[in-house]
Amino acid sequence: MRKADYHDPWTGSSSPARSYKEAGSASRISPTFVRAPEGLLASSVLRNVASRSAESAEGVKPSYSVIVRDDATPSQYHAGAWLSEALTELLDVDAEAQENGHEPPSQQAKNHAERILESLAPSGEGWPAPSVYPTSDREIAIFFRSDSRRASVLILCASDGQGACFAFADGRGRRARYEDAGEMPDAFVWEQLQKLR
Amino acid sequence: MQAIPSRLATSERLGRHVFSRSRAKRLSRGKPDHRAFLEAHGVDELSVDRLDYAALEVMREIAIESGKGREGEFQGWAVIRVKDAARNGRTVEARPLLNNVYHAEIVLNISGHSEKRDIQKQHAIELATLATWLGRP
Repeated sequence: MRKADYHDPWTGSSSPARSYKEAGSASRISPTFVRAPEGLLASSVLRNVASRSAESAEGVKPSYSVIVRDDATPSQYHAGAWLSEALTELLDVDAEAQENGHEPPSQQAKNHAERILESLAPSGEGWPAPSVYPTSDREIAIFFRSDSRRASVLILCASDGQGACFAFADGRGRRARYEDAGEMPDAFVWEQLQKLR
Repeated sequence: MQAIPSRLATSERLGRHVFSRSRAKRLSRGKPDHRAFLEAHGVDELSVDRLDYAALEVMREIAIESGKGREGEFQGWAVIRVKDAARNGRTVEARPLLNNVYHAEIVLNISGHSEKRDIQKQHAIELATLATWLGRP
């Protein structure tokens, strides 16, 4: 059972994420076409398609699929473009942790981060490209920031498998914690991300 | 040297030192990094320098001196205005040091909070959201 609490740190009010989820607009991840205009993006997306296919062969049902084709619209291209850059940053987290003198995040944290990025990208049109980096707490951070809206969403995948989502919008902060980062992205995460558009 | 008022103006710029090369690279490209405003567990005061009272070259030398003994070269500042730093329960206090008269601290005021680390992170992402990058001269 997931333990996830929605919390407003400025008012101190808390409520279970389950009821929050029921109250919010549930988001559904739809299969989306992503254009692959250059080698890096194509290889990243194709690698992920291959990875998901391999999981399927082992009996694990993929949660979504990305199909590479040439006739996607420019806006769809942008959503795919930040995925490519984000996955490239994810590959560099061990080196960055070493540079900063920190222990690197676990493989479990990396797997969660990769899956979350892949889940968000097909719907990520209009979002700013996220930063992906390791933290001193052995988390992987996925940080979206909208300069024009003065808003942000930080998703953390911890090395012990837990997760968290922090958001800042309209001058207020909100956060949710998850015993299993596999619960992300849930309705809370999607709702915070919508505020970046 | 320009006189430094003890009272901070809301429009003043506060600079948080950044030493990590990868962090600076990210910030210089306009991408966010909350670690610039996240201190170690249990520390709820963020050291900053008041950037508007001396040339950046002077502020750079202070930053280099304060960073001696730590990993990495001084790269630049994550900059936030006092009006943004002093919101949501935070305060900003001028705390001049013997070797840095421009020193100030953003105080999170969370000492009694039961979820202190999460609150530290919440403040860090807010400050990182509102901050801009200023590379070393």
